[in-house]
Amino acid sequence: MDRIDTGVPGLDTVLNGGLFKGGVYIVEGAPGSGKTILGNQICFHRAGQGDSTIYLTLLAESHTRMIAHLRSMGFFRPDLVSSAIYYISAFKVLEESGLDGLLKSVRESVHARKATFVVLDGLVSAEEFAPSARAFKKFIHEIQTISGMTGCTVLLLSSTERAAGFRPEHTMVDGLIELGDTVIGVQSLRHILVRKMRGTRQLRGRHALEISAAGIKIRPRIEALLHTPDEHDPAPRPTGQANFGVIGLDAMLRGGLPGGSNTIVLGPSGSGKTMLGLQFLSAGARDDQIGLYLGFYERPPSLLAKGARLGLGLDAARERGVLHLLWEAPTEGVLDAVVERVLRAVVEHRVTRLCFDGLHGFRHHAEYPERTRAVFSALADELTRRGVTTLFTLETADLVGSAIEVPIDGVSALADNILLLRHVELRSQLYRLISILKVRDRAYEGAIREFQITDRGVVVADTFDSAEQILTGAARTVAEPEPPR
Amino acid sequence: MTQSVLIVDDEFGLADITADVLREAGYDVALAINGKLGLESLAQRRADLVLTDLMMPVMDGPEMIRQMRADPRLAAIPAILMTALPEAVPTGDAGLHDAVLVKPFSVAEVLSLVRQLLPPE
Repeated sequence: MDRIDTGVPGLDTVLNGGLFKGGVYIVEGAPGSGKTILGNQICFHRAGQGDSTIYLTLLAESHTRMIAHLRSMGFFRPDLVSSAIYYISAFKVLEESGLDGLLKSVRESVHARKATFVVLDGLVSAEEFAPSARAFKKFIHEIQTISGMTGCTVLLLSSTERAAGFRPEHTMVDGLIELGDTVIGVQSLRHILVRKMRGTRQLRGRHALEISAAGIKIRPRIEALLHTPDEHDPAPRPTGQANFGVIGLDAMLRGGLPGGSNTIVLGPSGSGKTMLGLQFLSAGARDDQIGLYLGFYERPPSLLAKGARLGLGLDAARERGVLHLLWEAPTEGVLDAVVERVLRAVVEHRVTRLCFDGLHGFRHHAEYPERTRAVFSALADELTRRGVTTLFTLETADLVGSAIEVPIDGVSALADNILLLRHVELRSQLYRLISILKVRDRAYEGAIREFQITDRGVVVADTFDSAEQILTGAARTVAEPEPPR
Repeated sequence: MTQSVLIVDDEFGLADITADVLREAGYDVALAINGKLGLESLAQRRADLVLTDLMMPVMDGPEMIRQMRADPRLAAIPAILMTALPEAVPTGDAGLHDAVLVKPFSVAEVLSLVRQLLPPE
């Protein structure tokens, strides 16, 4: 069967290729969930593709008001309403002649306009005028007959004010699309859920739906969209090493991080996670490896200034096009939008090194926090498949001390490598320490070393001696004067 | 004699209110929900002015006016096209309609236009 695309960003992905030509689909949702915008947006897109379209309302509300609102939407094209989109109301016909009169009106309008796409807005009105449940089912069947004979694709928009749950007409149509608006905490989130789609495998589950001046945009749930790893996947091919350009650290890693791997850098606030990430990108840029930094807290100008103070050459790398900076506000947002933006930048700029600075900030974008682990897994896998070596920084709660609590459950198990940064307090002085907790399938040095941020960038001690002295207190005791005898 | 107006619109909310406004202004008003029924109404009862919607099922406003212009008994009746989409008004038929009334319109706008095309006798 032929497909028609809807032109709604993300929707055809969720539908696994668009609607079937000649299919009948129910779009259900509460008032304000976006049904009318969706119906109109598809109409305008189809009209732009050369279809003759009809938007037929069964509601008592005015087209005038609806069109006044639509005029501000980015998809509204005045040139199409004169030729390819026809707005008609059948409420009076329904009121006076019932479902038979409505069917006659639909049939005549489709025939007269040679329509190939029809939106029937207000299915609930047709149901209200149906003398029996059987008559309503017959009406749906007749609509299917019209679409089948003419090849016209039909969207039936229906309010969910009536009883929710299974309805007989759901079994009759080719697809059932649900639009919803859920309040989570103080945040209101729209979603789309394709409950049924005959003849194809839609992306199941809820996906974020955004309405802006441009119209509706669907954000397919990224973990459902991206490749799902399974046991038969070939092991990732090693793609060399990604060094930090820090002699001590590279020595601990036996040369650098495995290329294409993902690393979690754990540490409390101020322990140097961001600096380590910038150092990593700076080292890559020196070898013309294109880097991308994504941050949620420090904005690009601040980062560049910080990089300049430490002599990392970030400005020059940016000018040469080997470093790109992205910033996302750590406010409410859509997790999928962040991931989409990152992956788009990775592809667009041919990024091979990524510093994803703040998995904890990422969690602020998660409307359902339990999704964070699944999204991280999908993103990390996708980056590995693309050969990107990635540092994910993740803030731990305790500022000083030896206890480590990973704030996102299960994330550390998914990481290829884990680096740990810590503060240690000794005699009113704070020291930074770095250690490697894990490097997948590679030998590494398990010792703890002192880690410093200097005006020459990050410096990791050549040996573990200084760290050992700090941890044991020996560094200070040898410097103390001997007590008088 | 009371002047009469035929309003043809598939959206009855606006048509009903417009009819009430015109009735209060002293006009005799008839209603139809598409162009075909509008022509049938004109065949049965006189109208001095027609206000018709642009897009309607069965027969749209421009086609109804075209058929009025082709009928010597109806050709001289002034006709106003009402629409929320003025860009969709056909431009090829010069002189087909006498005015375009863009929805949403105010009471003053519709009364002013009706009085302009239908001066009091």
